[in-house]
Amino acid sequence: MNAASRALAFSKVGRHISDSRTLALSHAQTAMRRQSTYTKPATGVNPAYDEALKVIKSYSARRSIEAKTAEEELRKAQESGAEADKIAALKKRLFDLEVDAEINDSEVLWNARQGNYDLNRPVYQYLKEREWLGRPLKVLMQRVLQMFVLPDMLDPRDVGTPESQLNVSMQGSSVFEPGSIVGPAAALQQPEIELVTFHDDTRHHTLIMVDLDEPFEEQQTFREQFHWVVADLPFSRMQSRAVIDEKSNVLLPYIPPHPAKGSPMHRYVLAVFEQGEGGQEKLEGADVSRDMVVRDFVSQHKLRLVGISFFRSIWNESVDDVYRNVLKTDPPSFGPMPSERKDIGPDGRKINPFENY
Amino acid sequence: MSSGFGRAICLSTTVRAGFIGRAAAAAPAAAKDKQSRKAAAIARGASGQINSDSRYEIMKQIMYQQEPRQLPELTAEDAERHETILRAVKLHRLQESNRRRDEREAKFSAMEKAYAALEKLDPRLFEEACKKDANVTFPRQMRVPTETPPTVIWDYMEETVTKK
Repeated sequence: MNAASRALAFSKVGRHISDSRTLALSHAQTAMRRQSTYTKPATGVNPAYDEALKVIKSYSARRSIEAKTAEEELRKAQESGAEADKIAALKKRLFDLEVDAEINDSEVLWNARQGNYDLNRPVYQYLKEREWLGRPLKVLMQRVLQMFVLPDMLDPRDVGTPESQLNVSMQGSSVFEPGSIVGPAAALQQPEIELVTFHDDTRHHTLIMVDLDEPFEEQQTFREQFHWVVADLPFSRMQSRAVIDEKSNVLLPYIPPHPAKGSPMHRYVLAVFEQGEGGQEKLEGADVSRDMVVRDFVSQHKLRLVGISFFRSIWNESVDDVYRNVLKTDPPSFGPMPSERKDIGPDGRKINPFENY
Repeated sequence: MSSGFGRAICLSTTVRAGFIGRAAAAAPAAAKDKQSRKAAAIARGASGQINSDSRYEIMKQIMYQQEPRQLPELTAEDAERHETILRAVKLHRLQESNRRRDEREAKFSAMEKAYAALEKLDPRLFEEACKKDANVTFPRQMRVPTETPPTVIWDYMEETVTKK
């Protein structure tokens, strides 16, 4: 079946839904990013299936009509200048009706299962958010709390639950699950960032990459070290991929992970914050350094965490090259200090442990 | 084909028979002394009588005589139809439940409005209406009990109401 006839087949399916808006979209063929791979099962084989289609279609038609009246109500309220929360409630009602009108459609559910979301339609917007809240968010929060990323980096009470999905992939690899162990050689180039948000307006975000376990010799402890800070990244529902080039506001250029030899497993956190005033503020010429603390940075610039992910890394021979080539220092090596010998006296001879001998 | 329950009954009777047979055989063996019992056990093992116990044979026959039930093999199209049917059934049940709930709530709210109107209209009648019978039994208003039943108990020739 060539592309033209497949397009025609799709438009026929669109007509079956009997909603003028989706009909217009299917004719325009601009809404779907990928062609739907759904093949409609044949009718006339199972009478229960034919009846099921009728039930779904009649319910869907009824909800579409209710959605149209809700749309009219919203338009009148907006024109007459009603209160903001009344308009918000009407918008929510309209969205719920639009979703309910199409959520029982087999083709919509099939496309959602394949990951083929047409984000111009409310039903796909709802299904995409539902998919994020299902397993990925739960896994992320489990890993983040289990590995103590949140209490160490930020106060969990301030963070709550991240509302956007941050997908990070190293160059030439697929998206890694939060908490997975990544070899230092794989992270030499800056990773590809995707933030899946669920708001229509474009907001500016700040991306940071922090090493939470950088050894701090002076105080014999660990501290945070910033590897990468990029500000004023625009994200919206339709724009989820980050384009980080010369034109972006890179406050700290990317430095690859360099877990020192002998230090325990390092956690490298990638966090995306929404900038002040609902994402409209810009961070021009912000004062940053590699040794600052995340809590201070966040409170100073009024940032709000919306997406988080992290990976873990440990030393191997490739890290020494990072120290020599990128950081221009000798690669350090940490280990236990030799313990003090308590059985040798000031004259260099062994102390007699027995008093009366 | 015998039902599962019937098969279970068959099993119990034959097993009981087996038990009886074994008991009869064991009774004289129990009377003998330890030496002869040991010899009898060795002989049983040698002859393979332990493995040829009739109860195991019966159980094997019952378990394996019938082919295990095959789940229906669905093609992708059939599976899609199945899912759609289940979704439609769920939707239908939800709609019915909502309709019944709305009906119930409408009836209750009508009752409430009626009581409020009566309270405004006539307080004495309102008080009487609020009184409840302490001894709650089958409501007499539903059907007055009669000693003699009617001549026509059920009209079999009446046409049922046709569906829309």
